[in-house]
Amino acid sequence: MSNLRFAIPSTGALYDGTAKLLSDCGLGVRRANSRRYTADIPALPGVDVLYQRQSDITIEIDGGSADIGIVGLDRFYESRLEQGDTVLVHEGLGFGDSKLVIAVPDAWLDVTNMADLAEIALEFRARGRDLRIATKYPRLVKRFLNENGVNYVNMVHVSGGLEAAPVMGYADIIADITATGTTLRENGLRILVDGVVISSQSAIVGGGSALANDPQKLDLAREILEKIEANLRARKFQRVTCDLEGESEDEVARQVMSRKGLGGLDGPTISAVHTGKRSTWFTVQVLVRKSELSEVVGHFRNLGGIGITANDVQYVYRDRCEAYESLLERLKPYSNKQVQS
Amino acid sequence: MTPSIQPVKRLPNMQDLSEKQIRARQHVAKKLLGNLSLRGYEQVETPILEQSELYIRKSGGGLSARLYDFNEPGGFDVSLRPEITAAVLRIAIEDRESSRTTRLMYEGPVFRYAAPDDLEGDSTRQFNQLGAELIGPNAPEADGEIIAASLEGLEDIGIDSAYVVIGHVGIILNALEQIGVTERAKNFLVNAIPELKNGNVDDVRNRAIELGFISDAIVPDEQAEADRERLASTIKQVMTKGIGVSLAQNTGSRSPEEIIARLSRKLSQAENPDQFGAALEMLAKLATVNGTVSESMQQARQLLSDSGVRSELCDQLQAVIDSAITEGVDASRITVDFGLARGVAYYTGVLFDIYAKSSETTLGGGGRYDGLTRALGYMKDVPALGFAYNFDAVVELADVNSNSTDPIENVPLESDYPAAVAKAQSLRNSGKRAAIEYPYGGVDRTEAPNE
Repeated sequence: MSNLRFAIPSTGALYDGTAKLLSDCGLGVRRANSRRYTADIPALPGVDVLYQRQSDITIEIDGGSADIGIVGLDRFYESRLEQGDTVLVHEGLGFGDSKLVIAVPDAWLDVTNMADLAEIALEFRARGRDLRIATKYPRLVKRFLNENGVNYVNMVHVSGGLEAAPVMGYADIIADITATGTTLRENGLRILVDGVVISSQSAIVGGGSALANDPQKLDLAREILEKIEANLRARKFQRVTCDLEGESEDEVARQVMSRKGLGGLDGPTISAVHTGKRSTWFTVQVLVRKSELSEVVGHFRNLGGIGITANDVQYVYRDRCEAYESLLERLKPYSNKQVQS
Repeated sequence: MTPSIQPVKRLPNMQDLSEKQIRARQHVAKKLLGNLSLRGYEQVETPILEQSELYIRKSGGGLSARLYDFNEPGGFDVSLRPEITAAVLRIAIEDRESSRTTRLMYEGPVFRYAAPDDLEGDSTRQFNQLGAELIGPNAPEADGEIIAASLEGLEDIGIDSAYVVIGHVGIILNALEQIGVTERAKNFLVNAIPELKNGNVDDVRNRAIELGFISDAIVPDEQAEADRERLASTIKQVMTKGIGVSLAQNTGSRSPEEIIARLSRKLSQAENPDQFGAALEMLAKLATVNGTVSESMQQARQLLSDSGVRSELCDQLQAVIDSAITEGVDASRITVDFGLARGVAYYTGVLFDIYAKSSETTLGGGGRYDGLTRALGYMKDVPALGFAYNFDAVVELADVNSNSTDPIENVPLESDYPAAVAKAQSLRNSGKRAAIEYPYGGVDRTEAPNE
């Protein structure tokens, strides 16, 4: 039994997204100062937060020095061991959307797709030097290139900014992560039309053996998943409150539910407004999808509603945590008990 | 917490073999090789490690993405072999008398990367191939021999219900040639055959639009348009500002001249959308033609002539089937499938897959690859054809007496060691398997204080 070691990105695009997600979920991280690489979550004792380079997180979980972590799917697929110890725990945290793409100098007017690149690679070969591609994702990129018939290629492993590689001359083309393509365009690079290696977003991954065999760690992971799942779900909803006049609770409920689908997620909550006189006013609360908000407001207006307000909600829980249940399913092969029986 | 050293697991999709399995393999290999040997094939063995180049040249994307390649200490870029044909062909070209037909056979492991979560791919990364290559002849009778030999061997090991499905990539390539599509479009279309066969014509058409083979009024042809726009703006700049300024845009490691030269080559070889459309339409239909020999041949001929394509290669396919029958193959065991295609670009003629009637498993396959010698860099065209069994699947189905391993007699090591040795030796002398059983010295450390 020991603390849950939770690795999160120390820099880069996912750093801010992770901090925001955790604080939205009431799991804000307390870090003594920005040079410290460990921290904790005051709301969840028993969790040690480790700030790590994104590219190391999967490897550390595979090797058992962290238990769960937040990484981009691209990084996970680039560095995981197949059928290794790391399992996907939650596949879409709603931030860090990006694509790993193949980009060439924009001035290569004749190269628009992967088939062009395959021909160019042969031309480079014929002149005695293989096409060089700079990337931080050699494993994913090499397979993608081979699958597209680009066989003669030198992978140039670069850890810094790649965009300058073709200008500086240490690579001919690049494969890099991009969210909007702006940085590539500004550096005179162009994405090939069929050059998307993988589409990615942020995810939670975890060590199978650690989670399957340490109930305390698993329980902490469950608490984190519960909050994240409920928070991600809550982003789609708003709570609408409205005062309506009516004979009775039942009559108001009938009016609210008279239009199918506008009664909220679990039906309206109705309570009497105590004005001191014989009350004919009721406060109605419904939880509705953001996409249905204006329709619901219109409906309330038609019913003569006043004081209509809409608020964000922090969590929307269901009867069970789907992410946790699918995690349990994925952990089955890692359980020691399973191996012995 | 003390770090604990974990046992090293097998790689995913890698298997060990038991004695029983090894015996079964040896038995089946002996029969299959014996059968080919009677037909005049000589056994050869080639290195498991080769320069990656041997497999990359002219191979389609499918295979090179599955290579186990790495840099070896001597500086070569090498791969575990993913197939054996190329190396066997090298023996025939370099080491054998060139003016005669060469017949070679082989058996051994090949390696192809397979992602463990790829359910449609191979379930193993190392598997065995046993096969034969017939190098030199052009005659369709040679194709017939290869097909007949492959089925004959299976009969020999008790798989007498196997059948072959025959296709002919030469017919398809020739038809595309006659319709007049570019080399690039040809590659695209041949690679799309498996999809066309499943009826996904729309997916293929959409990809063709995306890659600029055909344009569509609704979906703008992004690529060709981009090409044209860029060319127009470049020319405009050249005309307004002069050459020096206009091409100051960074062209990286390629010179502006090089780019313009290839661009104009590309535009001059641009696809005729009508011809591409006609080719796609023809192929979408042809890929779904399969069934009995006479019916599917008739359908294919009709289809080709409807598309205004001469179909003389159909006669060649018929001749191959006729010679297989002359070689003793029952006509009921041959079906034709014009949608049979492989991701290996060097096949030029007949292709076939061998199936067991009792299962969906492919027991092997083969075909003609007259283009391979040139692709490998030899300055001659040498016709070649061959087949390989998917040896592991064949062994699985073979009728092998699985109890053929002899039991091992264990002689206990009691107080009299010399007597135990003598007893074991006398058993061995009489041809029995005997081993001395020592007291077991292993200790279970499960309870050791490790945490």
